[in-house]
Amino acid sequence: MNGYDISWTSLFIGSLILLVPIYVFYYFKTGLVKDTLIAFGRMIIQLMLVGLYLEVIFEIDSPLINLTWVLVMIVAASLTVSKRSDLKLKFIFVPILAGIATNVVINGCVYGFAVIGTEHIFEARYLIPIMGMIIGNTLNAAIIGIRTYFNQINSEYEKLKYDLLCGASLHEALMKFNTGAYREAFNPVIASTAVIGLIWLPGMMTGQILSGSNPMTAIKYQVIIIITIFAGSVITIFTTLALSKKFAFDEYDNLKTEIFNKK
Amino acid sequence: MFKSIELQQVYKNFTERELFAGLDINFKVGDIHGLIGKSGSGKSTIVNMICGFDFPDSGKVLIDGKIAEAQDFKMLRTCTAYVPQNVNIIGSGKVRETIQSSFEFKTNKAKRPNNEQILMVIKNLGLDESILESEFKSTSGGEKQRIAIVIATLLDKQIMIFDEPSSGLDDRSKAIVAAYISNLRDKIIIISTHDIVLKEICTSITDLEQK
Repeated sequence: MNGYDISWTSLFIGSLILLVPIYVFYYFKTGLVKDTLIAFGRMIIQLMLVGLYLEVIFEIDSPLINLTWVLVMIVAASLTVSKRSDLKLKFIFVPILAGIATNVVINGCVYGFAVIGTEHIFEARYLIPIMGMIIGNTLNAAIIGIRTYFNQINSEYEKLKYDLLCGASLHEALMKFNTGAYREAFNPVIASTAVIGLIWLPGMMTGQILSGSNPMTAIKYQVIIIITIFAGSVITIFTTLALSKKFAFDEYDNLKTEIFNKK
Repeated sequence: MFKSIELQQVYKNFTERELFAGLDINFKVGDIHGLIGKSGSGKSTIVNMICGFDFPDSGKVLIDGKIAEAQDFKMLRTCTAYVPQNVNIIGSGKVRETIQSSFEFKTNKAKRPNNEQILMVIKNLGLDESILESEFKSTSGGEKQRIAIVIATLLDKQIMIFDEPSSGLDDRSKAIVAAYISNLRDKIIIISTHDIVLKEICTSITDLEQK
């Protein structure tokens, strides 16, 4: 690595640009200031801890510890998506956990068998950053997809009942809500994917190039990361929504209204 | 084939108000049963209880004399055609697509109507065939009501539930709908209404204001 290192002072000064969104959120009374500060504070602390952890873990490099760390990431991500979904934790946590875990297992196989190689996949320097990228970048689409799905069911419940009374199975009656969830979650992703390289360069690739990697190596990693994040997001939403039926509907196929957090 | 749906000694409170106290109703094949009462008298609650969307606080819902369980309600729903009070919910896109969408469900695929069948029912209900190419959202309330009846008719189920089917209809259309429903045979027909024309075609009536 022959990249140019950033000093702590430079990092601090650069981060002051965050004052702009905070002022805008404050000025327009968005109620997002506290959440923004907590989110970015958490991000900085968590990344620093990961940095410290990775330095130690690269030395130890135990597959068991690495997998435990991935498990912690899965649980933390599931809690985050659950809280942002406007649904009660006890109804939605398990489907989301299963969704993210399925994403990790399937993408783990893709990296293990096709990209990194099974002999390297459990190494800290591959497993933790890759799974971190995949889980972290799935969150946004998962939150949008799950929220859209349940909010639409709630607001169009009469239509769902009408379809059930026209002979639809619950699966068939929920089809349009699945359609809405995928469209809402992935339309922006597809649009932004189409202009990668034209309008913007992804952060990971830029980071790799800045830290001294060969551009083509960085691009190959970036391509597979974008593809697996996209596929992983769909897998997460698909699994979560499929499993959520068991938790959100009773044996009569009626929606449990108690799943929604009171606003 | 369902022969009867029965509410037996049903008690139901709604927002701390007693809606039903010991309600008994028997819906039988061959009957056109009218649920009569003003808004808030519990007509929709009865429809919901028959279909397993709501439940009595106490009392029983019997299907063919047997206490109904989840699977029975689900089976009953596959044998039901329903005209909702709020017909705005039933469609999107063109009227033809709205009509055809109910036949995409597995249980209805075999009944998918051809163009002639759709046109015949449309004309019987006093609609012009050009409506098939109109946007559902742009049709009038009365037209939406009759489109919902067209779908229910084409579905040709054994249980037919009409929730305020005359709302938004003029006198001529009401007479057409009433004549149409009264000609349906060998079905359990339930009409929730306060309309005098529709009351007249009912063979049995439950007046919820006298319960």
